[in-house]
Amino acid sequence: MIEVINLSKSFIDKNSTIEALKNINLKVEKGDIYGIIGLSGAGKSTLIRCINRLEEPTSGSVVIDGQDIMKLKDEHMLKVRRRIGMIFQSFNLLSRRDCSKNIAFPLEVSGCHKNDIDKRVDELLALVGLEDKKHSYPSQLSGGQKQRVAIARALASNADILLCDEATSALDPSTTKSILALLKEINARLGITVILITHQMEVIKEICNKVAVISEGEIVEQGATFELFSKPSHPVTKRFIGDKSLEGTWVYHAKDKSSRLYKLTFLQESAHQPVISQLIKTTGVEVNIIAGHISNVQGKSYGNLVIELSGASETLENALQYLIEKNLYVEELVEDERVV
Amino acid sequence: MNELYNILLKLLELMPQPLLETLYMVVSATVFSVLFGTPLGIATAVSEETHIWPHKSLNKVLNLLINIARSLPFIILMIAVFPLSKLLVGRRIGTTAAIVPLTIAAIPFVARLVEASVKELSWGIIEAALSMGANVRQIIFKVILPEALPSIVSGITLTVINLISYSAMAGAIGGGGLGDLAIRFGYQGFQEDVLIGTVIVLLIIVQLVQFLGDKIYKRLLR
Repeated sequence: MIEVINLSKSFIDKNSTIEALKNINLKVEKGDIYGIIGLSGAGKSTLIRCINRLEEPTSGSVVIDGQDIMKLKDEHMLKVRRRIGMIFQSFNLLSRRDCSKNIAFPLEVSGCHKNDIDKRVDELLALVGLEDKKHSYPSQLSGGQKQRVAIARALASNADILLCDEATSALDPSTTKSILALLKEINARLGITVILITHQMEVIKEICNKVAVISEGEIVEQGATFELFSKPSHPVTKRFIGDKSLEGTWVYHAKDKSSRLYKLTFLQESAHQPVISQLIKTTGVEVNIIAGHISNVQGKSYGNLVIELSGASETLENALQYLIEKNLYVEELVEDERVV
Repeated sequence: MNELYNILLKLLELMPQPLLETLYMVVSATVFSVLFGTPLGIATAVSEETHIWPHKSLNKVLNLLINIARSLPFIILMIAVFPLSKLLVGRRIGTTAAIVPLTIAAIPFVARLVEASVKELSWGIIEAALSMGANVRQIIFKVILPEALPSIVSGITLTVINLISYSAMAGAIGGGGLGDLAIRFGYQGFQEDVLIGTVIVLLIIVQLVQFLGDKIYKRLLR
């Protein structure tokens, strides 16, 4: 388990202080694929580097399996780093070593015996499906293959934590998918805890079981991925989700102030009931359906429906009450809070 | 036709000894300056505040030393190190003695080139090595040196060519070599054919060095 406790980091310039991270708290359980999503400049790169102390936090601590790594001296820290693999957006392979020698690097560093290294390298090449590229140099590989080598290298010294720094941002969509599948497989088969930072929503949707949204150095929202996606509350989260059901809504919505706009979220259990027709029958409210969209997060789906309700204020209240009773997540859309 | 033949014959007789002297000075000075300049350059690069071995005051001292040595004109440096040459090789002037100022002039040059080669490496590969638990020594020998090698080789090529031109200057004060030949016969002895011949030979050497340097650079680049 990895706990980030009250972590802050400021960069002190000559005449100004930039607070890159403000009081971050995270709890990553063993076996999680934990996603941290944020726009560029939000502080996610700094945050992930604090976890293996490539960046020194200004205050706070990182506790891995009960051990506060901020208290570790140099040599001990180097040992802990060998347990924490890391992969990068730009792969960062050594250009003058072939694949096998790149994967061997962390093993050489930790003083492994030559024969053990050879054996382990072959195992890892098989794990990432690059047995035939053993003696190829990075310049001869595609982006996806380079990232596979990087993953093999990161896991070489039996890491049980893998940090991914925008690992798929430089890859095309289909390569991204295959790398994510590999990460998922590694997580499932070897029980490796994965912490990844990204600005790509698809990455989170595809593999993360938990997610934290970071904005301007603060975690603004965190939780299980499906929950967070189906019921986003912070504007930044909403922006990331880029709610398709809202596209065009404001264009449609007239200046008629007597009607109200609502966004309904149907989670799995409520998705199969004819809620809208019953709503009309029971309360007599006027319903105008404006937009609808169904999203899929890791095999679970949820629907969003934007409706316009009109009627007497009592009728509107009843209608609202009814929707809440039906276990729908109801949000009133107010124009000045519009999310694009 | 006969005249040209005679000139060639004369050059063939005059040239070998100074040519060997030049090669001897340049090769020795290159070897020593690379030997001392490379560690100096690496130390300067990695001791910077944001690099893997931050040592602010050491970095300042190294930079100052390199700058001082680089700002001395070679012709003055040559004379200034006479006592040191005497101490190291037992003579103030002569071909072997000239290796001392040549090396001293080239060390800071090599150091700056190596420093630049190290600094132009992407920080990502160093960060990756750090993330794998490599220590400073391992990063220098397993990451920085091999990755910067092609660029360092380009730098050495440049150094050799510079040393060829410096060695001609060393010739002026008793270092021997092609420079000495050109000055004595060509300038003082009014034998323009020797002067032109020397220039052509120097030109060929420089071309060869550059060609070889580029070849090695390309081979190293993956």
